[in-house]
Amino acid sequence: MRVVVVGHRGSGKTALVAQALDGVRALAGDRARMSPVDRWRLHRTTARLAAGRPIGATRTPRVASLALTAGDQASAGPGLSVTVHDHPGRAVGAGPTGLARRLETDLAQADGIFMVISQEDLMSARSRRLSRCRSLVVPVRRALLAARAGPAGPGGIQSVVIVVTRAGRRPAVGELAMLATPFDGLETSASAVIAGATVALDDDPAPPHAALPLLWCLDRWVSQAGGAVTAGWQATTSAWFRAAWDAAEDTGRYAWLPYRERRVP
Amino acid sequence: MASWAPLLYARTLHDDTWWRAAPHDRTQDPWLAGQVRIVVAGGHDLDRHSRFLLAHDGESWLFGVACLSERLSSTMNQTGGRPTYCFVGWVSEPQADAAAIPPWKVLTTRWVPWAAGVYDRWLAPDWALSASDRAGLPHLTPYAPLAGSWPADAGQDDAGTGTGRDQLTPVSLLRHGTDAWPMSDAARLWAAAAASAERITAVFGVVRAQPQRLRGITHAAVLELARRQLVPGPAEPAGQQAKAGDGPEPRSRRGPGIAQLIASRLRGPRPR
Amino acid sequence: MTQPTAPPGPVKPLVITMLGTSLSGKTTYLLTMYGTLSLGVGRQSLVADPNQDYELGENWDRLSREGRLPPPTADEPHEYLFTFTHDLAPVAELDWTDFRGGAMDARVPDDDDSADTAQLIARLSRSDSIYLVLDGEHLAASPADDSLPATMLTRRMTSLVRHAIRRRQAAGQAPPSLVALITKADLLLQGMWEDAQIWRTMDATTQRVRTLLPVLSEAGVRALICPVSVGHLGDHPGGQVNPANINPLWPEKPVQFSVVAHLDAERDRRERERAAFGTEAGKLTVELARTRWLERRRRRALQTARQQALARQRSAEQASQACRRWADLLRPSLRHTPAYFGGEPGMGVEHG
Repeated sequence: MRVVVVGHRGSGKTALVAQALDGVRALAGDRARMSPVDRWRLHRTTARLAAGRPIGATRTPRVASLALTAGDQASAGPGLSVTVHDHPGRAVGAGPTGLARRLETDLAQADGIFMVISQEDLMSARSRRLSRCRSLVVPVRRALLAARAGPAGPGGIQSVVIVVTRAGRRPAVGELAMLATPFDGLETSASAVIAGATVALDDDPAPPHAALPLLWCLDRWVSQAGGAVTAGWQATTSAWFRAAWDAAEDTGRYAWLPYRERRVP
Repeated sequence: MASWAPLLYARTLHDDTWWRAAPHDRTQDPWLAGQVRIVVAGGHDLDRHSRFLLAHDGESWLFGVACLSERLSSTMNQTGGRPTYCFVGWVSEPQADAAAIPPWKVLTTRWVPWAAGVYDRWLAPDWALSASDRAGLPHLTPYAPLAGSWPADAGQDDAGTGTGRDQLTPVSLLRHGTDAWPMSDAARLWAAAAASAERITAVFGVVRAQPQRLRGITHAAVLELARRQLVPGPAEPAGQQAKAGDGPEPRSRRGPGIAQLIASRLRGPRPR
Repeated sequence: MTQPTAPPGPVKPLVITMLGTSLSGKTTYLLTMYGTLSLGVGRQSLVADPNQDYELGENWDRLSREGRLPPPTADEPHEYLFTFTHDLAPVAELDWTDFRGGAMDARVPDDDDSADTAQLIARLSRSDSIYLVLDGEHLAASPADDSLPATMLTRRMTSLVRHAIRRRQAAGQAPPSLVALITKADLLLQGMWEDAQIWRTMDATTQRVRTLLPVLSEAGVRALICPVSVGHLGDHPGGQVNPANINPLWPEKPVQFSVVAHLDAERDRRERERAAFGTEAGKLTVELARTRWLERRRRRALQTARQQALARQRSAEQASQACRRWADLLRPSLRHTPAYFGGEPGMGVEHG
């Protein structure tokens, strides 16, 4: 599964990626494997977050890989591979630069997309708010169109998660929906064909629900994978997602699901 | 001594006809029109910085400035509440010597009074006319030695204008991209461009090194750059549908040409 | 409602051309329209390639965030290609060119500056939708003034459009749809707070526009009269407005109308095709019945031709149904906007 993270500079993408992977590793236990380099990067980022120190800007696209093994359960079948692509904020809104082209290529091949935006941006003056949102919506919408126009069959973008970072006070469901109003157009047009969710994360260095977006995408991807993934994995990822969901009871999250499944938890 | 003629590209209060003044043999010149449109770029960003042009088609030289009209006139500078913009320049006869072109330092310190004179001379009679009164445009401008219109020391090498040792990236190597220099090196770029024998379009004062904003420009001095770099040309998106044209309908998508197919086969698949 | 499939077969881009005097708001409308629709309105959106999105997005940002109106359009037309989507499905490609106002007003026959005029006139005959841009500031200042046609060049617009209609009809094509785009509509309603007063003003404006542009009421023409606004901008010395006042009104309606009208016209064309292929297939069936079984080669040729005609008839029917379903899906978004067909209110189509 490929997840692509897109957001403006300073929106908290790298922190989100580190927190999400940490959360999944905690749930998966010894079934989660990362390369030494990825583990070191993850550790460095989470340590800086815990110490309240800033994380430097991402200058080039980075990929973190997580291998999920079947463990002892023979019914789970082969393992799963998750890659999370963290793109620099400069790739957004600066026109058709090389970085932007790489981002668009990645987006078109993604299984899940995180659109990361700070609460500060969503509460800024109307024109700035709409401009910041538009520069995220446009490449994502282009990728969704390209993915739909691609060859039919399993795959294609299945989930889009809007992650509102630096939410100083965990907003209630209604507040979060109102904050995310600029994304209504994308949500309305996309919800007929893909699943989505909007999640708010505060400044807690280890928010319990940081893994929710990644687990959501993983659960969706596994459920759409059909015969490529066994029923054992579908049960596992659903259980992980439910465990993270229950642990993050008052997160102010809400979900927009495909048209026929629309509900708010 | 080669002769030069002034050009003026500007609209009036009531009429958006833009070509106001040009020499008799250049009124239908697509190269000249294209160069002016490149530097003017629809007026974009001229409120942030004026742009200078130095262009060569292999025979003639063209130089000038695109700016907001308010830089040149306190009265003829807006219409309908919108600031107007213009291009004022000089074009040479064929086989002209670039030595007559003012060096960068002279140009940037003295362009306003020079350009204002041209602007006023050729626009003032038309400024308040209605659209139906625009017969006879563009006004035909005479060729004359350039030195007569510039300060006496124009054309002489000036300290800080460049030694002529700088080399432009040859146009053949640019592949529709732009050799972009930082604005702090504009004088050196200007001198190097004036020494070039190639067909070039050099624009000075571009705000951002954006492929879309550098379209058609071979060499540029860019405000936001800290070091020289090659900016690739704006990429055409894969599978972009051809526009509706005058031909029979419907139009089909153009596939890659034979050259591209062979090249892609030789290069192999791109790694994911 | 399940989403219909895209109309099968190659569909030429929907060609849109704007006519309007200088500074009537054509470019500002284009930026506002794109800035709004690229974010998405309901289930619809516009998608452009990255280069054009950057250019339009940057200009829209300068307007919406800095309050900087776009500079006057120079003599080089700007060409854009958009994809209009509904629920992430491409419905139509839009081929859009922004000309300077003076391009439609080349009164001097040998005007050397009229290269873009020739381009504009040629393009009008290929246009599927023509936007007749009327400066709301003039309508607000003097709604009943007899000088309005001269000020807004409505007679010139009417002449150009009628010429385009005739050329299209000579080529067997439907007339273009027309949008009377009233820009700066906030100036028409300035200072009005009561609904009744607003409706009266809009009704009176609509009637005035129909008088100024009688071509809107011509037989077979689908037309929309649509007020649009960027916001209550007021005076804008130096091209600068207060960005806090940017609040677009209906920038998406004209585009939605053009797409629906295009689908309706395409559906009509496919219906005519279906009928023609059906007739052809019928004739071939009769001829086949008359051909003796010994004339095997001829029978085979007739059978092949009939199968082809039937296949084309089915294809035309599928395309017609797809156009109808798409148009019916999009039509509700035009509720409450004054649309006309042949001069009568409505889009001239029964809902399926």
